[in-house]
Amino acid sequence: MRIKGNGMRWSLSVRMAYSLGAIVLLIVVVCNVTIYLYFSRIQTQENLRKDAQLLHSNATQISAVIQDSQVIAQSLASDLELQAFCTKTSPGYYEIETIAKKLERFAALRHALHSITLVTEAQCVWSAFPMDQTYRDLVGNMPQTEYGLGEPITLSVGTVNQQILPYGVAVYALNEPRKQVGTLFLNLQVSYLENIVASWQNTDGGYLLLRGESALLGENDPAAGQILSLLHDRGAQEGVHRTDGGYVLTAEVAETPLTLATFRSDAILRGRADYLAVYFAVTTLLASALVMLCISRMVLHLTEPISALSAGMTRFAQGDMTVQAEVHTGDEIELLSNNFNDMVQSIRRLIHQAVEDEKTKKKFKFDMMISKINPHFIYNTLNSVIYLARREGNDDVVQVVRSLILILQDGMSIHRDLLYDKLSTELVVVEAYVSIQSYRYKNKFTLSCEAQPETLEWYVPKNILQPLVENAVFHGILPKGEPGKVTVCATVQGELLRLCVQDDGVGMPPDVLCALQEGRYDGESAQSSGVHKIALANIAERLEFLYPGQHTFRIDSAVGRGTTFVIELPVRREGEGLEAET
Amino acid sequence: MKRKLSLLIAVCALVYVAASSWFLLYFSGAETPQVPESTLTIWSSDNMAKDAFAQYQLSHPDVALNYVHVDRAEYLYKLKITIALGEELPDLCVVDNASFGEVMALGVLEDLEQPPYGLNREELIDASVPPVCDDAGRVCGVPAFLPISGMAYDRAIALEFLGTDDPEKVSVAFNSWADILSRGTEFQERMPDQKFFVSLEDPAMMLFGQSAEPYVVDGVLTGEYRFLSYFKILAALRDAGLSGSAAQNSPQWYASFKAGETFFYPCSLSMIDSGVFHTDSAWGFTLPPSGGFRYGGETWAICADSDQKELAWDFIQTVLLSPAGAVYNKNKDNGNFICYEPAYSLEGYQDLVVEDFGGQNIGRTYFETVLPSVSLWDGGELAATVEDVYLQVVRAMMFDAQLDAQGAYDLFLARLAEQAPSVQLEEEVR
Repeated sequence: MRIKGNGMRWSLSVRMAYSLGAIVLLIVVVCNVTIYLYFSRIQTQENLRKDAQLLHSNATQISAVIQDSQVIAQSLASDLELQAFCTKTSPGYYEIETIAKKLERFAALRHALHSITLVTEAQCVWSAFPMDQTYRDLVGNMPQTEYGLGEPITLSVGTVNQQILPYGVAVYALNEPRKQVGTLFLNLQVSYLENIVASWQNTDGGYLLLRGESALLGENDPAAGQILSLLHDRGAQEGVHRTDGGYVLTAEVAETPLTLATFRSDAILRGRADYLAVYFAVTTLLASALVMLCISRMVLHLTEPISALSAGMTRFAQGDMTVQAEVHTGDEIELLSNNFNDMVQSIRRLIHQAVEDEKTKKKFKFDMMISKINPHFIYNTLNSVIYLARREGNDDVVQVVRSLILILQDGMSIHRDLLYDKLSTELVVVEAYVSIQSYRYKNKFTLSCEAQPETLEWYVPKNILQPLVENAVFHGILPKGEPGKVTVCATVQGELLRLCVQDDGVGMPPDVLCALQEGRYDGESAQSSGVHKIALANIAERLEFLYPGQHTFRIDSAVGRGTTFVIELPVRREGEGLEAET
Repeated sequence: MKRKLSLLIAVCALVYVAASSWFLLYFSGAETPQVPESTLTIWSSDNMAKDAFAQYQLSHPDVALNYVHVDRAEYLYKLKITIALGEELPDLCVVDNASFGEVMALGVLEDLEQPPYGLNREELIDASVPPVCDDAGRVCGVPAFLPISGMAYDRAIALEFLGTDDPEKVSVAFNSWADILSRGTEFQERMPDQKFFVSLEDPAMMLFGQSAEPYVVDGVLTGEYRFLSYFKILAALRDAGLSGSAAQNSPQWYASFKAGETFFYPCSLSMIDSGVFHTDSAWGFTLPPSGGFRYGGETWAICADSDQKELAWDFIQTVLLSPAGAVYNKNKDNGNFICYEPAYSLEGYQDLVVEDFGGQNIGRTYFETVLPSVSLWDGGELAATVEDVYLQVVRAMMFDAQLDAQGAYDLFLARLAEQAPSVQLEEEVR
């Protein structure tokens, strides 16, 4: 389908802008996605490494507490008083009290220690309550060979339940190093370990302190189930374990059966990489928009000359001959534009020349028309006739000839390139003509001139009324055989002057009327109807020449009712462009 | 068109730069963990301060708590060893009244009547002031609870033995220690599986705390023969099988509350508040034989080395020296009475109906019967040492059934001479 006028589907600039923009967007998206994925992976690995290090450090902190307790236990175990007590079979109350006080003093050295218990064959001395057998009942028949960190014990003191973790150390006699004389249990406060673990807490996740597959601390952590499940499947080996949605990190607490574990979700490990996704998404859109706008701007700048040229061509195609494309790009487009401008000017010149030639042709034709009805020599002859008639005293002849001369003079003025004359003058000519004809056709017709006063000074084409009156007399009234009337009227219709020549003669047959209305003045009907074809054609042509497209020339007629010629012209006053309009 | 496009480009570029800058500034900084502005370190053997701090934190969210559990028994020693090792003492010490005298003697507590504290001792109940005053009469702590105790009894055992569980009638039935001993034989015969006391330390504390006069005056142990009478009563109870051998406040001692085998317990208000009587048994509260006694209570004190003195004082005032604190303590758990005098002018404040005690108005019994029966006197280091030695002997009596009253008394004097050589006997002075 051929595109006409401004019916484009896509302008060149839009297509270029979108194409380039799409390419840029694609490149930016691919780059940003790649960067995000890479950064995300790097961030995950780095955070995993740091978390593993931190976990190991935290495990060391717990290990330090326990090792510290071990040091205290070793100090106590080597205490001579304690050694002596261990060998007593029936210690007295104050001996028990004394040892209890000693144990209490050592326990007081560390916040982590709840109490210390010395178990010998004869006695179980608990520093908190030397006489209370609760501890012995709780510890039960703990094998003497099992030392180190034992199972947690819950102490109920009043309404307060405290969890303690006994750390057992064998006491050997100093003088018989292979002989075990007792066991020291350093009772660590689980709440102290809880406080340590709580101090590590952050938004990334909690910690579990495990003994085997059971949680000593942190069982309420949301990830506890997942951690325990994984460790159940794979065992509590130190390291990083991949699981659903993240990683489980474990670290062994040195020299204890404890394991520290934590869960880090993929989202946490990605850390700020997730924010980067938002950042990349937003900046991708913004960057793409920015690039699109810049490209559009550049493309617009490049294609603007083309658009200007295209618009100019469109205007030229629509008839604007004055269009000139202003392009100064210094490239092929400017060359194209210059060639277009030259073409437009050439075409305009050609058209102008053609119009001028046509005008000249019309003028020539008009001149010829005028010269057909304006013989100069007749005027001189008629003056001679007036002289002779006056000499004979023939006034009627004098009057007729004068009227004739007036008509001829009017014709002369046309010949002198006067195309317009006042309506009053035209009416005088009409009266002179009627005067002549009335001598020949006495009492056959009458003339009535009805002109609005203001119209008399207006200009009308010369010799426009006389031929119509002549037509009305000879072809309208005289064939009727009875007297008739010719009415000439001039009225104002807005900005138009309405001239009317009406007769009450025989009228025209419809075919004749139709031919004349269609401008076929030379047709067979016109010729046989007795219409002054030359005059009507002349009038029509002159009107067309003088008022192209601004006049009307109508003929209304009916058989037996007469004929009316109506001419409507633009009003022309003194000095208002009385030349022929082109 | 071009101009519009240029403007759009400029705007877009600005937005792009702004967005990039915002992201870089907002997300590039490391997340700094929120560190509380202040941390208050409290050493305590119970959860009262810890629970109160949780409430305090609601209106002071920028304050954190470092709570260290220290058993009552080792509290004093822990303070001493901490001082000796040059380690950091707590900001707030919550000390059992029994050891507060010795704690004051360490000289590490603030005088709360001095600036910036400005404690007005008129705002404290008279009965609570002496135990918190040091030898120089300075108020070194704010008493949290009244240090006067009554006696709790198992209503079921009372009904079975006395035919009544009415507190007044029970009090009348055991009006004195002589009544305890005289009715003990009958009790033993009729209810051999039950005991009057699960620990010999229980009646020992009652006897010790019922003294109308201070034990040590100007370094002299006054009326040392009082201890002989104490030991006689205790030996009788032990020998009659009316008391057990559990150490007071030990797990065994606490476990006995649920066993339903013990008739009497020393009963401080804080014990009621802690819920130890929330067992299957129904309990009653009454005047002990020969009246109420000094027992229980705790004191909150500020260490002189603390760098959170203002915070500690604000906390103390909020919990123990304000109408809001009075209402809080009254309404929490089973309720307790602080020593804030103006609170007692509130209508109904002295009423304390406890479900574990069969709906008995403990407060009325306490303030109308128990409190008026006790004489209070200033504590002091030596008084605490005397008490400590006394209890050691009592425990020795539990351990050694052969240790009779006289032997216990001799042992008491001997041990006192060892542990407090500066204390002179009244007899010696005379």
